[in-house]
Amino acid sequence: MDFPGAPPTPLFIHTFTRWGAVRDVSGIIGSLSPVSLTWPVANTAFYVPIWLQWPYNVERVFWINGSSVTSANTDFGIYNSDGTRIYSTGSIAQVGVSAFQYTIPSPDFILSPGRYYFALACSSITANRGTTGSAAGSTARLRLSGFLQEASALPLPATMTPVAVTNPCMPLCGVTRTTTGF
Amino acid sequence: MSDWPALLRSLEAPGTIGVAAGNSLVFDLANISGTTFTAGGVWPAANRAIYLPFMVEAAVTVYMMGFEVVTQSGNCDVGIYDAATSGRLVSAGSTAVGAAGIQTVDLTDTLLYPGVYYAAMCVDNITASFTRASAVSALWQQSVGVQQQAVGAVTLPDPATFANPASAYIPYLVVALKSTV
Repeated sequence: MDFPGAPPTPLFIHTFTRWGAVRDVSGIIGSLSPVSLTWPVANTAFYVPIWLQWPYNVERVFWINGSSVTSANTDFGIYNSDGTRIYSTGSIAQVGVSAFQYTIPSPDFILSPGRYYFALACSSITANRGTTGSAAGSTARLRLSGFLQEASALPLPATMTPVAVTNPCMPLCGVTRTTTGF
Repeated sequence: MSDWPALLRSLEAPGTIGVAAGNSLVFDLANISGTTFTAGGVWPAANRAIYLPFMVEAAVTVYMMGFEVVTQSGNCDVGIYDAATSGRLVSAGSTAVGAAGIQTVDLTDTLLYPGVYYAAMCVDNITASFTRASAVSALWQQSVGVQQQAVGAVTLPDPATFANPASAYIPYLVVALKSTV
């Protein structure tokens, strides 16, 4: 182990872990589970607050496709708390139903301890092509948990210009420090 | 607060690290879904090992593992793996599934340094049943690192060959940090 020893970090950081604001929403509404989503508005991005207490090495990013993927494009991104884009995949065609879709950043990078937004935008409003997540809760509860959204944001912009949430949409997306597996 | 980096972290070790404890990465699923661990689910496939990830933030010694039997049948094995290497650190070997109630299985005392590990369990039949969570999808389990393996025998392998989970079944498996549970 390198002196003084890096803290252990989880295999995944995503919106539905304790490091994401979805947990806050679940605490308000009692419970929720991710399901195949229908994206509420084409090309709209949703920004989910994330916080990290240690450096995290991002080797892959991912989302989970819904039960249909035909002609659907998605962009995953990471923004700092000031709204500046740190990374995004660009608009990518969904491949593989009800499955993880990974992208490998090149080079890999480290997120320092701090607050971030994980962003996901999707092109299709056809049923079940909006990746996997939850539309539970209400716009009020998402707003009070720090969620934001932005129209016409596929591909994701270099700088967020978000507005208050008007559609309850919580996509499951995030990062992993593993290079393979899962 | 000292500026010097902490060599020993201040987090107190709990008595056990269970799948619904804060140290467990499965905790997030239980916490967000509001799922409960209930009695009676038969093991999903004979000789399937299920690997449940957990984090150790301060060095701890593991003395035993435990779970709750609902229906007694056949044999099981429990153990701990290093997530970084997939290597088995300690396991009990084939052990008869006990009568209904809490079953603890002694392990060779094993020091775990800060890191990510898997608590593993394998059962050789689909009659034995245990307290488990069944309302968390396999995809969601995968998103926190839960894994499985068709072992072909009850004895946990070394190393593990991980595969993504195929069923909504999370046994209530705990790692005991005391010699008495």
